[in-house]
Amino acid sequence: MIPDLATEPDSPALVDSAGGEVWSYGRLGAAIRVAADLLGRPRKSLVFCLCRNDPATVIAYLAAVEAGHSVMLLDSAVREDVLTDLLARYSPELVLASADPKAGASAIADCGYRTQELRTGGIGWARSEAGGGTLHPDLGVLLPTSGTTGSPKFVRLATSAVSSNARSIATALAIVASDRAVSSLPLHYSYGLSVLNSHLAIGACVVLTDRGPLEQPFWDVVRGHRCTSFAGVPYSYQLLERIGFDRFDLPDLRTMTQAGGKLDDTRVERFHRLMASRGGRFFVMYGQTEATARIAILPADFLPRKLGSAGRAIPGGRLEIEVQGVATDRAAVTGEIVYTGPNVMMGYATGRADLARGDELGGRLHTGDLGYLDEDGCLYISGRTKRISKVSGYRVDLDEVEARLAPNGPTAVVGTDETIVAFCEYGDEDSLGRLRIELSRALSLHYQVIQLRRVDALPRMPSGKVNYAALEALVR
Amino acid sequence: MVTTQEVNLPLDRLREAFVTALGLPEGYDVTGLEYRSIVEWDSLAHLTLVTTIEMTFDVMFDTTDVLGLSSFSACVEILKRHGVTFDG
Repeated sequence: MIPDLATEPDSPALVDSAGGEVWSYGRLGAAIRVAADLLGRPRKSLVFCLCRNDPATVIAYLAAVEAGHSVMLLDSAVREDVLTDLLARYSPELVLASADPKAGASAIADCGYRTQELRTGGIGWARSEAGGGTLHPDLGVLLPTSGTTGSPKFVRLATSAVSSNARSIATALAIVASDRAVSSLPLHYSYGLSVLNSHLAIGACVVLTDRGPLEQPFWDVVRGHRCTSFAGVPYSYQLLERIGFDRFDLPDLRTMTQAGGKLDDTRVERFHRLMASRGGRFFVMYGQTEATARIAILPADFLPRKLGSAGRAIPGGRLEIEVQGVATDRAAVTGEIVYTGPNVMMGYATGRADLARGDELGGRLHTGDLGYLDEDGCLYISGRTKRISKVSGYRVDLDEVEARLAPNGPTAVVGTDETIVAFCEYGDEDSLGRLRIELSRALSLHYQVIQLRRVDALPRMPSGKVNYAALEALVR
Repeated sequence: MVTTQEVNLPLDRLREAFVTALGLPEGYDVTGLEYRSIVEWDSLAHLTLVTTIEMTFDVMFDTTDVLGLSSFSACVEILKRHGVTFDG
């Protein structure tokens, strides 16, 4: 089981900020066992878990894993059409939610699922004729590769990968049993899930809230429940600056972590100083959902000396740089970052049939990121080989955006960490304006980070391929 | 007849600021909106909204204002504190 149930049964595992209810390790363990019994099936099953940051979601997720099933974690606010598509592609035997998902409920009913009494503090749906399609015995958790685009591509994780990453993170961050992390990120997001898993793995506590840093109640929760740890993406730290976080009185907060894209050096240094002055620690981290969550963590006391670094490989993992197919751990060589460790995914999935497949990577992940190691094994990231943008921490596959716009005419999409720019050989101000709004809806991204630019002809290479380098130069 | 003064009433300007900042269709009824009640008003859009309202009304929001901007009606109250008057 992921939670360390050898923990003193009276120590708190979860706090539900909504009602202030505390779930001790004893109570959580019992609830997971009861729920796992109820979820028991003769055959290993696929369970969709519609996530909110509340105890019922955590219990549903942990119980499904404990029952030996495979769990796909989804946003409870998932769009109806996206959920319908996923139900058709993956045909889960069970769907669990902690509360009635607004748009989701009718999609679930329309796909032939009937409500089932589960007594697990949530709602369950089952479909008798669902399933078919064997699940690989190792498959524990499925996480979305993209938080926003509604892509059907998921990462297949072995249960052992999830537990191993949780323990490595707990060690690298020196999480102790008295720590209380606030759930500042969603559980269906690998980083948010890793905060939960790493704290439960060593007997610490997670305070669950659906509120975010832009809401006063969130800070009331952090202060009131004496949270010691906060996790954020680069955008979270921009928000914290805007709301005057440096003047907040939070005496118990001693750990802040940052992942989900590169935070600029100025802010890293500022937050490092701020936390150091309060006797706390600021951790810069690097990871991918393809590695469960975490790949590297920069020890807090390496700052400001190693400013700009994404950290050292987590315990049990190894970083190498690959140049023209040859991997090396020599310093100062730039190439593709390759990570080897027990937390690497089994592979991707786009439908039920993929869930029967075993490990396809052998614990070795080509990250698609470019970078180099220094003489102390600290990683510095310089770019990406894959066409992926992380706009404000949201991962956007540029080829996917391009495919979405392609029916309108020739399109080439490039992106930076601030903006996505689509160059279009079609449309006028009005029609491109409408497409921009449509695209922002489809990607769940604010329209101001999306630009559609009209061009007469896309720049092309002699081969006829789009010259992305030329377009990127226009965007920088 | 619609006069310039009428369309520039503070409430209309605030509605317009919401529609623009959140990227909503023209004429969208924003008066009942709450933070995160629609996908368009997420944390990403929130700071844009704050900036748009600050510019529209030439005010500066402090921490309490930014964290308190939890709905359209809360925004009206915040702006009143900043001396903006809403009639009717």
